[in-house]
Amino acid sequence: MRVNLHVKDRVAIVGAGMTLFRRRLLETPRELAWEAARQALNEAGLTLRDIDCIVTGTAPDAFDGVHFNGEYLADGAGGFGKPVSRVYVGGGTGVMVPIAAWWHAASGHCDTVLAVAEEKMSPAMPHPQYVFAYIWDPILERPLGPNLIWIFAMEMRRYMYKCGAKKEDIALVSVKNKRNALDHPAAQAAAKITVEDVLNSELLVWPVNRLDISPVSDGAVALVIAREKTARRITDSPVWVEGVGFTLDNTHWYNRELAYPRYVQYAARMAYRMAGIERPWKEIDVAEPYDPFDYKELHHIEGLMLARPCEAWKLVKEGYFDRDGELPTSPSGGLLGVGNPIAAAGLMKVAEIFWQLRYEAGKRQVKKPVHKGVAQAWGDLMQAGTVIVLGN
Amino acid sequence: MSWWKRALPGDLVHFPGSQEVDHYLYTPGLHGLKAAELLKAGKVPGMLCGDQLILPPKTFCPDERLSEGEVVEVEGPFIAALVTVIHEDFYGRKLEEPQVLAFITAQGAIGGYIGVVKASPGDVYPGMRVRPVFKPEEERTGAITDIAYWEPVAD
Repeated sequence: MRVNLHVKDRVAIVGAGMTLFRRRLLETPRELAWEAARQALNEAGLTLRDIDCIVTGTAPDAFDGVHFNGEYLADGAGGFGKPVSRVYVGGGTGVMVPIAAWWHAASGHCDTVLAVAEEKMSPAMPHPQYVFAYIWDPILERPLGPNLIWIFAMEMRRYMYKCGAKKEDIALVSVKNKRNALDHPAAQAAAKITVEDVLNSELLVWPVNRLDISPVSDGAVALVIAREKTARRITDSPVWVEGVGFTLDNTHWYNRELAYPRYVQYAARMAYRMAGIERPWKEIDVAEPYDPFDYKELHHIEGLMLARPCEAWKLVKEGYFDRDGELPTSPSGGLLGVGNPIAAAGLMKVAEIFWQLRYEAGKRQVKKPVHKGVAQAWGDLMQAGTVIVLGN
Repeated sequence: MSWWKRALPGDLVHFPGSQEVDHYLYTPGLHGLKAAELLKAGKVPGMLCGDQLILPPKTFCPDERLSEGEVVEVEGPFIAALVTVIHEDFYGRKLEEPQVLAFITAQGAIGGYIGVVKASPGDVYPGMRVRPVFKPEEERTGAITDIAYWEPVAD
């Protein structure tokens, strides 16, 4: 893969904001976008007058129940009378939003960009899970009534078989992330739980139990992104976007080796190459891999090359990925602990790396010194990988 | 490419689909609660951003700080700023009586509401003053449809 490294300008994140993540919030989608956008602008000490362009991201309109949801919520995100664009790659959207904001600024087209991701899953009745019924091939798959948890269960089983991991090994991720989320003021599913709690929770589709999965959520997150000259004027502690990467595999998930997310690795290689990172397992100080399921964090740690294939589950047992460990992962609490409003969840991970690299994460601040962090999201039919590398 | 002109439910090769999300339950939002109270009380809701009246209310103001607005009752006067006449319904059926539809704003306000004006098409013109007619109190639910229709105000 060839990556054009010759961008016009360096780009930094200079402010972040987010709403509470909850199962059902009173706010409308545009109000969620508004709350997050206003927080991010306030943190950067800016107003809309200082913003040139807007990038929004939401997953299927069918969750919010508003077609043109990106346009509907745009004015809450400050998107009126300015260039506005919306990106969408399923669950990967949350990290694709700052990537799109990056190219808006790095190209020199916009000096400042407000990047907002929103998801309000709760309106869809009887349950938002039904929205996923329409992601399948309508002729050969859909009539069989597939459910996303079915295929994730098969993927988890494959990882367990190939890598020799047991359910209790994987459950440690859920225990870690829900514990980390106890320190996150916006968290929806923070809890002090044990491996036994995960194993004894409701069995959904073997080997997936209720506590292996992140919850359904409403929420929004926003970032302010600026070109170097402006970023340095706004803040003394800009967090640089050092690398971005994104890939899409095809929808034939059954043709892939499910034990290893190669599409994530491709996206990560693209981002690392741009960031000048050759040994991510040594050079990345803190990571936010996408964790809608506990096994997915392990999967993505390996795809991001932060651990060798099939070794992440062994390292999690040693506390390697704890907040005070060698390479803290999901110090925010992740999707398992903070919540999973699809597009907003990915951007929450980028915001967490931003706060970590500014040493502003409060009780969630990792113990080790941090210089470089990576956030990643994953989406569609186990096929999309989006990766962003940040540095301070 | 080929043209498949048949797609009837009885065909052998036919793939029906049904949306399993059978309905949506929207939350009213921060502004929506107050707006609903006003509608239930037979009042038209709007939003004040400083001195500027904005219709309909939506919590935040279109200003550079995205500041929070205040949901207030709009007393009028109301004006039918844009007017059209509907001859067919959503399903293409001819209406027995053409229906006058207007975009209704309030004097000095930005924005407005869409509403049916109960009058014959020839009697309604842009700039005409109108007033809301609410459903009987016991039938109101706090929805925008609590405004049964708008009627012309004699000059």
